[in-house]
Amino acid sequence: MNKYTTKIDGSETINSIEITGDTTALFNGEEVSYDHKFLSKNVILLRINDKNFIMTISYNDEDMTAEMNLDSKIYTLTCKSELDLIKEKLTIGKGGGKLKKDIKSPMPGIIKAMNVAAGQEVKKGEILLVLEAMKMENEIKATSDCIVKKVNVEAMSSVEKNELLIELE
Amino acid sequence: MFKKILIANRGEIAIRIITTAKEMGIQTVAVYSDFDRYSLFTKLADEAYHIGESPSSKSYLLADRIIETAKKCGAEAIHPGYGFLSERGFFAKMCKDNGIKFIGPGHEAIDLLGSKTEAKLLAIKNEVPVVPGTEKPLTDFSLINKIAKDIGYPVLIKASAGGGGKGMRVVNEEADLESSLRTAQSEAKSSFGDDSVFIEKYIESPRHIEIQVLADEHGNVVHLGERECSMQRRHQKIIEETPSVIIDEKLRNEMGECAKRIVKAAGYSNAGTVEFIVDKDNKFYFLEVNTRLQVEHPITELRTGLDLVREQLKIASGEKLSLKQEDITFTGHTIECRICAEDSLNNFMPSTGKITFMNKFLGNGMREDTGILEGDEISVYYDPMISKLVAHDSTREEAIAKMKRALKEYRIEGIKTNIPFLLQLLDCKEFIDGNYHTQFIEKEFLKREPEKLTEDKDTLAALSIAASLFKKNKSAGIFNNNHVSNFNNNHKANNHTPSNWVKKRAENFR
Repeated sequence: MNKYTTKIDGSETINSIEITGDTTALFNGEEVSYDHKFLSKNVILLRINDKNFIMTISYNDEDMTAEMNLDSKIYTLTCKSELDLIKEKLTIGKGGGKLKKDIKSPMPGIIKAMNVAAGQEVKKGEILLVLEAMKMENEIKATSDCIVKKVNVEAMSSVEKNELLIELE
Repeated sequence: MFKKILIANRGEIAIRIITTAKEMGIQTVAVYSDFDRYSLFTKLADEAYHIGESPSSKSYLLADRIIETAKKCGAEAIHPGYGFLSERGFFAKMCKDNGIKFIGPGHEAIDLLGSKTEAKLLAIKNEVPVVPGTEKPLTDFSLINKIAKDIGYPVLIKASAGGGGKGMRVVNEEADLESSLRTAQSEAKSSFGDDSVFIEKYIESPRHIEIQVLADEHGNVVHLGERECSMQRRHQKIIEETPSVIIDEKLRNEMGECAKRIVKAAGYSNAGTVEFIVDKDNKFYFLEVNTRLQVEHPITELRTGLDLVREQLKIASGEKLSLKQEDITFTGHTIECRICAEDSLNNFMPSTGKITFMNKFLGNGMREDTGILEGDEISVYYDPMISKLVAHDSTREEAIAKMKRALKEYRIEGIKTNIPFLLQLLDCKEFIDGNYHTQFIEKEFLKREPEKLTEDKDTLAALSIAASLFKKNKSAGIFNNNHVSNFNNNHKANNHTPSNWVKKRAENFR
């Protein structure tokens, strides 16, 4: 497993990467020399052609996106291995890849307002509920157009982190 | 001077106060909640007393218990910091009644200025300009409706006992008044236990500029110039700087004299901040007085060379101000950024969890005020500020450049921070030109399209190769399962149960 593709948000190009050795790699077919050290489990020091880059990575297995922080700037990129690409081909045609859009509580708090009910259609950006935590009221918005399947909590109830608040479809 | 003081606060501001007190040879006493048992500020103090459970209502807001602790440990004075009990007149009075010096103004001045309506009347009486609006707290909808119509929309609803932007709403037209009023009142009720509000003319594109004052207990008052605090989101300050690009010496003196008149009239002593809003035509209006040390006080310290906590302690112990107005000098430019645990890419959602990695390189005169170390936890109990970075240099451009350099070298993992957002703000044209106001972030900046990727080839290669190496290591099982589960957005994947932080901190402490 040494071949990968990446697509960085804000660019249309799909890059190909091949890790050919401990200090050599091919980036879009061009050889680059690198050196690397993991400073912590998700912080990496990488030297590309002797230039320093320190990055932190949060990788999401489900959609194969990495959120990377380089010099306090955030980049989002999709990184897939050869194996991922093969798996993807297999699932296409099976109609797989149903998107989960359920709303979970990002932190413990109190539901100050519940703006939707089961069966309701909501538009992207619409405020679904208001969660009060850390002394601030936080508006939780719909990330896409969808229909409310089920509402699991009432206004003024307190919720734990990761509690399923609203099921969407 | 006092021999021993108690600090009725936590986190960075407790540390800020402890630092100066120690330098003055004063013994320091910390009080802490369950959560803060081994927090940095408790370790830096000479003594530390447990006062209650983690929620502030069961610890840092328990006036009785704090006074009791002060008496038990023999503290002669209490510094309240900011927030919590700092602007509660009853607490200042309790201190006095128990023979403990409250490091701040007298309770009469706190109560007088704490009531926005009283403060406004005082301003009017002392020929300090104010924004048109109601002078009494209101709860009745039909009356509020009528007054709003008289003043003319847009109007601003504010909780009469408010602060920090809670219970505040702008109403653009009559149709929105009822629903906005309801939200503002419910926020006010839950935050301050008082749902009365007042309304005033809403000034568009205003700047928030405040004047720092020092007043001793012998009637002497000086002002220490302004702080430009217009970079705000939802009424929470994000970046502060001094001087303000729009304030010249004449305006500074005018505002400074107004500020001095108000605090003198209120019989105020100790450090305080007089807040003004300044409109497009540089006309200023009195807003309120914050009767405490402000979060953003360091920018004034670096520009005037004064230690405001030291001045507070000297004033509280009865000393006369050693400075006259003409002794106050200003050098260079100072800027502060508030680093908060929040996800600026996800609607600024507060981000809680353990800080798994922290590596920063400040250097070259950068100041950092913080109470948090690697391994510490950002909890839901207290506000999400991690630290304040302060840059001082001879010009505004140099101070900004210094700040940007330090922010880029400030790395925190385990939680999300607003550092990327701060850097975007520092890079935007309006900030560089000094041409911004309190609604700039919400009304303009956040509505912009994200910028196109313009990175060079090596950077793109670095991002791509790093992600690939990461995936390669992961599939090879180099990281154990524990680590892997952490990768998916730490703060989302982490379970809320407070892990075993007490035990872990105990280990750190040893």
